[in-house]
Amino acid sequence: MNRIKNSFSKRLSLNILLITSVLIMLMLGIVSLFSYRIIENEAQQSARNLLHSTIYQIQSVFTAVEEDVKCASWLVDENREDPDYMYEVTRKLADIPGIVGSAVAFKPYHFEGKYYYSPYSFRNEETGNIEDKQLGNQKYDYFFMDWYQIPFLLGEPCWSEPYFDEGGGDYMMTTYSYPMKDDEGQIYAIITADVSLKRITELLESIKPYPNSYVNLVSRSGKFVSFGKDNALMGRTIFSTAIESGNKDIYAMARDMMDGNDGIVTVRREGKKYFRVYGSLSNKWSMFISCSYFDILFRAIRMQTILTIVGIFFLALLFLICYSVIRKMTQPLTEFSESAISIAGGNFNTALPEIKSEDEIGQLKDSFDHMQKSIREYIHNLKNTTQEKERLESELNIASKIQMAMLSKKFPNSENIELHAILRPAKQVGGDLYDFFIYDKHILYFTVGDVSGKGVPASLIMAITRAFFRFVANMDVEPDKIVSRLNYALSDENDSGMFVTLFVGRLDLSTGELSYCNAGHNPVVLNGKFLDVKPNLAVGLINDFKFELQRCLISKGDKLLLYTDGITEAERTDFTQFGEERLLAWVNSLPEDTDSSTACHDLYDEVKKFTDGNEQNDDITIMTIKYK
Amino acid sequence: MDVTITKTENKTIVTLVGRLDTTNADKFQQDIAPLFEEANPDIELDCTDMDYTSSQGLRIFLMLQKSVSSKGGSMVMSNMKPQVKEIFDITGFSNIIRIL
Repeated sequence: MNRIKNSFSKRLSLNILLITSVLIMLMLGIVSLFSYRIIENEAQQSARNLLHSTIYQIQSVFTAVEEDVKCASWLVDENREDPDYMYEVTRKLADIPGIVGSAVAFKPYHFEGKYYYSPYSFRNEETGNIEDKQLGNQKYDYFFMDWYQIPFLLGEPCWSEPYFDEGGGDYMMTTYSYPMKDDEGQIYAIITADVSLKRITELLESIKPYPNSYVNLVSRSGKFVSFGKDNALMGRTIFSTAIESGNKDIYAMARDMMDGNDGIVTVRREGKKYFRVYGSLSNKWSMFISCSYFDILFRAIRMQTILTIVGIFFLALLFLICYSVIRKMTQPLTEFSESAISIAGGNFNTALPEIKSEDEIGQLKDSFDHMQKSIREYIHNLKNTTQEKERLESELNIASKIQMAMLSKKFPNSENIELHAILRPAKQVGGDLYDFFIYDKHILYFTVGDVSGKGVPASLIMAITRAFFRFVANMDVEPDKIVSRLNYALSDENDSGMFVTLFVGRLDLSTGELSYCNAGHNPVVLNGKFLDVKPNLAVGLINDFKFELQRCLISKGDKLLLYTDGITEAERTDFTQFGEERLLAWVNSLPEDTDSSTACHDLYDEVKKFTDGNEQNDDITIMTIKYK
Repeated sequence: MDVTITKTENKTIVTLVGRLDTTNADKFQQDIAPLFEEANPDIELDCTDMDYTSSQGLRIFLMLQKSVSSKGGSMVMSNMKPQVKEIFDITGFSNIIRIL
């Protein structure tokens, strides 16, 4: 019974699980795709915002310095004839936070006799005090310094390229140079403010929107001001690194950035993907923030991982719930199966599982219930039918016994006569008959007959015929009279059309005189030849038919054979009949001294052998008489 | 036993083919049942291809003849094979049924 290897509930649950998993995976995929886009956009937007706010912050530092210097320029202009006052100016500027040193460098001989005149104030890092000194001399010919020469030639303020202060700290410096012009527009002095890039660099290094992102500030010529995390960039330009990277996108960005444009570029390098947002400051410096996609999507990936784990957990939960629910729902099926086995085992009253639901299971229960009732009824009917059949059969058996008992079994075997007969009905009861008796010790009456049809109807007619024969023959009349009376009796109100073929004989044992009348029966065989018989007509058909009596004389040793058409019409499966020729051949092959009984059984066996197992479809009767 | 009933202007021809024995006697009786209801009662039974008849068959032929006679008609059986004719002769049925 236990052939359930993979239960229905398990299979269904697994199927649901599989479909749900696929759907959830699909959903996760779509969600991740969209969330990646959103996260990417947001990251770029926030990087851009960060860039602009940072630019603004740095810008403000530079702008403040520019404003301070501009204010100082008024003082210089008003006191341009007072060399000593210039120290006041430089001290004031150097004292401003963010400015580490300031100079006012005059053109040669602005003051009489002074080729170099450049008062310089700076903050002593150790003492924190402002100190002064005169910059120009033979060794430091400031007229050829960038911070002097460039604004002088351009005629407008400018910021120098970043540089390391000689003997300064680890941080870079830049100098704002402001040219002072006289009433004719001639430049007579340059005001400078040295600005430490320490704070800016620190600020830039602190900006880390993502763990691996960095910010680079580059000067007007592309020189790195801040290095991010990479000190190797010190003293190099963005172009040299771009060329070194061999990446078109990076080079294009460098060009665009140097042109003072804003923008964003996505770069793939060494298997990593990142984007850079860039923008420029008012002093033509530029800045970019580089963000790795790995960092940006890390959160999304982490979110996705959490979703997947939670998903798996819920799927497992779903499986368990499905399994238990389906199991519970299909539990009746298991119970039905058990009930079916029990019913099959013969317990037709086995209780079915209680089902109240009006679904397929409920329907199954109804069908099952119906089936159970039908089987019960069927078995009940079968039992009754079988009993009825058994009753009928036992009645038929009784009828058969009664019928056989009607047939005489006391076969005469005296000094002048030997007679034997057998009757084998095709069914339990039959329509063949034979009878004989000896009247007054020397007259043998004998008959063999065949009622048309078989079975119970024929057997009734057979019984009547035999009784009537006995009754009439006992009056010692000739066979034609016996047949005529029998015919008259049977023809009367014979609506069924049944008839009897009959041979009736009367043998005077003392003289050998044989008188006989044949009523449509098979001809009798005398000593291996057919006896001359008139067919007349079977009895029971025409009530006033004239039956003809025939006579002959037989000698001692003569043998008579009477039979019914069950012999001559015995058939093989191919419908070949035993026939009269085989019958005569058999008679003639019989040894002279064969006794009647042996002859009867031998003929029967011969016929059986001939039919070769084919079912006997007609009653068989054989009677043999030996006159001695 | 195959039975074909053909109606002509003045009689009904019934063609009988095969064996008429105990196994199909009841069927045969059903097959020819319409003939018992026939208004035009003259019947010819064509026995050219009839191979055998049992005593039950004889009974049915006889009853058919009785039915036909009671309506004033006639029944004949024609072209009978010798082995079939013999059955009619032995039982004396050839005395009461017209055989052509």
